[in-house]
Amino acid sequence: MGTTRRAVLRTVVALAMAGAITMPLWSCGHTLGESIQLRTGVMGTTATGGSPASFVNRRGWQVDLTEAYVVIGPIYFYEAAPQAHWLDGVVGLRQAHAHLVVSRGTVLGEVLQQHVIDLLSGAVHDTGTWSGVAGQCQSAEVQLLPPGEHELGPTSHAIELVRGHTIWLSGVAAKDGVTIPFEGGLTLPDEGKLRLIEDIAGTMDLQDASESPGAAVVLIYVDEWLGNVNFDTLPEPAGEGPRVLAEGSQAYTAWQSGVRSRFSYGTIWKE
Amino acid sequence: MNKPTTIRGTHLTLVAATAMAAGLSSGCASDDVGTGSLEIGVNGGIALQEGFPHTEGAVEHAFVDGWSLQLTKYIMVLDRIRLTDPADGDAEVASWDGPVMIDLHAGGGDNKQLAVLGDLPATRLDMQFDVIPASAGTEARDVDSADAVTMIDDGLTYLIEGQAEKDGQTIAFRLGLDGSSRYSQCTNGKDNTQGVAIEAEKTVGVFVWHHPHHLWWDVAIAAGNEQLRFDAWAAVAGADDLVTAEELETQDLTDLQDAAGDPLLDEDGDPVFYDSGPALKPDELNLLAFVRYAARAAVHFNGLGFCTMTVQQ
Repeated sequence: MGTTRRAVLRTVVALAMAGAITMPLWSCGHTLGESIQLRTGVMGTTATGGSPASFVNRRGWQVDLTEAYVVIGPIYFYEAAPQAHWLDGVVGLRQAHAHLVVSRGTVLGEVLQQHVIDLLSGAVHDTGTWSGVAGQCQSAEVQLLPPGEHELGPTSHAIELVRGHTIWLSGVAAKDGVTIPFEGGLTLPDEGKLRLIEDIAGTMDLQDASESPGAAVVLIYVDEWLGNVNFDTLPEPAGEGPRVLAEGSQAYTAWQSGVRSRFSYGTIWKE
Repeated sequence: MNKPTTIRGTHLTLVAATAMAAGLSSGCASDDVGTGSLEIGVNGGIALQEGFPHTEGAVEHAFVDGWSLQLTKYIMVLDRIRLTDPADGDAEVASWDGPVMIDLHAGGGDNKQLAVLGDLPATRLDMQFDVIPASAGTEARDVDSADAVTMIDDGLTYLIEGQAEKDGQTIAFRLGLDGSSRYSQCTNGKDNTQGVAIEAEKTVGVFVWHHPHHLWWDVAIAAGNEQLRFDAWAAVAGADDLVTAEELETQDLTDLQDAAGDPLLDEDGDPVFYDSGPALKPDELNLLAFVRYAARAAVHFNGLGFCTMTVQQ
């Protein structure tokens, strides 16, 4: 056997071994992903894509917001589908349990800062360009921490807008001839996973994110935050001024439930 | 002499690599692995035997709002168990056809045998099973005949009965839940591996575990902060002191109330909050929907093993 034939054989062997080693990775659907630069953003909207400044909630209240600010971040975009999507009967749930950490697949993108977002601006708030991995994003997670509990992004100058809370709202709610001005802040309790909104559904193709115009955007459905709020449960103010979204009222509990709900968020690739 | 050795070595390496490629890519097991058996049971653990509070290891499981609770019936319907071979494209190796309704509390809450599957290849297999509503063809085991009729007529998947006590007050509950779920790709709670390893010439035992604690936790998905609570149940019992599914549906999770209609407060005087965030849609925030989710999430494999659950309806 000549040198050429041996070289061919060695090449065949090498290819066979390489195939043997890498084939399971291909067949298991892992992201082969190359590094990308991922532009990210956050935007306030409604579940139907309308203006979050004015909507009717599930309990029949016409809500007109004058302020809606949130401190959001970090944010993670995952390869894996939502793990708790079983209610839709589409995707199985790897049932979480005490102390169980479920796999959400590769982190394709992330925002490792807190950003102050004006949810009524009608525009996507830029939360920066971050290193990521090419792939198909199928779920996301956002963290709603108190302001300053994580590194603040370029919007740190706006931190006073949330008045020390994670979220600050003000506006007017009206129903059956009753008009209730309101305002207040919400900070989720530091218990369990209450400050993590996991399993946010939404599919984005991040294969060519570096070259494609646009950004991976987290949508906040402000109408779902307030969807079950009965504003007449807010305590009357002692004097003049709006009613305060105070802890202990149905309005506050319903607001907190809405903020905690993964159904109050979505993701979209937005140009 | 070196050339033939080199050629022979290359040839052998090629054969080995080819075999390796075949093995890794197809996951084929060797043919003669022997056979064994699998005994499959179902139980609800110590909570069915002792109620609440009870102690497991060093952990006391007690209601934070002061209730003690005993279960008297815990009927669930299991259907079609499939054993599949992940090394052979998830081909079905053996199955057990249900459905059977079985009272996990009967006989003191000990493990109930569902099936013994024999002549299984001695290799690691995946397990899949269904939990479904009762129907006319459902076999009843350890189930009172009147309850069996109720299960079938009402299309129930679970019928759970018991009573809770606090400060001399007794509140009973009789809860029928429907819904169909499939559990697959189960992690073995015994050793955290996937599926179960069949051993040659042996009978391996596994069990489906319905974990009752979920029904009274105040979080949909536990993360170490879950608390057992019954006040929200007791509040809707009505004059007959009996909680039903219909009454649980009246308890609004955004406006939890006590029996007097006042805000439901916890042991510190703060409003009780049930964290439904990962589970319930905004238009179904009531205690029945929460408990229905909890019952589905309570199904584990061989202890605290978790399965991929898919809602079938």
